[in-house]
Amino acid sequence: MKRKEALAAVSILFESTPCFVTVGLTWLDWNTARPSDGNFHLKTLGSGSSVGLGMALALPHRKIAVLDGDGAVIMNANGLITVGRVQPKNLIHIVFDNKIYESSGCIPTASAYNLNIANFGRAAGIPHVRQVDKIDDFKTAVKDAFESDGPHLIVAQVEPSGEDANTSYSRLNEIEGKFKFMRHLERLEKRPLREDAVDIKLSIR
Amino acid sequence: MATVENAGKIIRALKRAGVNFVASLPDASLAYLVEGLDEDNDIVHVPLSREEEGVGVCMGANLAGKRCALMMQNAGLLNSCNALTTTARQIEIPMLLLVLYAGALNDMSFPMLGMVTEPVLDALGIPHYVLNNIDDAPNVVAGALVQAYNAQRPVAILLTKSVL
Repeated sequence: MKRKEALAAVSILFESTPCFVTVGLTWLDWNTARPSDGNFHLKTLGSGSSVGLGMALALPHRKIAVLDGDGAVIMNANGLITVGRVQPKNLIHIVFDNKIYESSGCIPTASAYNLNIANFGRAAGIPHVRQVDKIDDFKTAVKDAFESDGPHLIVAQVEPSGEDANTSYSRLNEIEGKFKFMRHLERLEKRPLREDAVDIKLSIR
Repeated sequence: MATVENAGKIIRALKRAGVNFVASLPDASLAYLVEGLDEDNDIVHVPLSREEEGVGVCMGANLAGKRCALMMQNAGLLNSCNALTTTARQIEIPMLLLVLYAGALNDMSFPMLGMVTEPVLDALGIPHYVLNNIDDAPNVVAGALVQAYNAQRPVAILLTKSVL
């Protein structure tokens, strides 16, 4: 399956779920499948599991999703170990494993050779790990992740985008993206979340 | 030698400033602080596997309204430079960095780490303050947090072993 088709098949399941999305083609593909202020563009490769964990702990009543790639996960593999240790029940981490650094010159990643990311996740203590390579199975895995406690790690085996690769540019300024994302979260949570320096100063007695 | 009493003073300073989320990686001098944070019911404490994760963990929590701190040794600060740049600085995420200052004045460990710590923070555009006296902890912690939100960036407090 292709990542673009897989994302299109599950986007409706996400509703307004906050999504942290790895930099590169996954971001472009996801914004096409689900355009939303609830999409956050990660700028540090590999930070998905960490950012998702932080928000999952801060909002334990809400599902938090991470859309990631094999190259990024390998770069911060210890993030999976921390997730396995902390066990955030509401975290859904989806890794599209195309076995290449697709946005960085299409050089093979370790998952093309020695690394099985799903097995790594299991060894790290993540209790719900699935590896899928068909759209229907992917859909079922994502649906289950939304309906049951996690942490969930779904490793989707995908083909490289090849000639279908999205060639557009993301024009979103990251600071504006942050504020849009926080306003989206505030609407979901029905309470203010953002604090400024005055809030901090006035709160300290 | 680190003391439980000083760890308690630093945790009280964090709570007075409203810090309610701390990600950390231990150092021998930070052990009482780590234990104290684990036992504290008002602070979510996340044990990291590598310090750079902590920048992402704190951003995720900060976007959801938490007041965050990342606690580590200065070796971990060096491990975190990419995330501090491409996450914390680029996306303008306020957080406290509580950094054990190995190799500081009168500390024989890791002299090279001690020498590069403040120049690296300067290069990253991260304001930093050395805590030499534990009685200054409440004001320095509160002031650093206000500055972090005012300047929309991390602010580092360098913890010498004399305050631990």
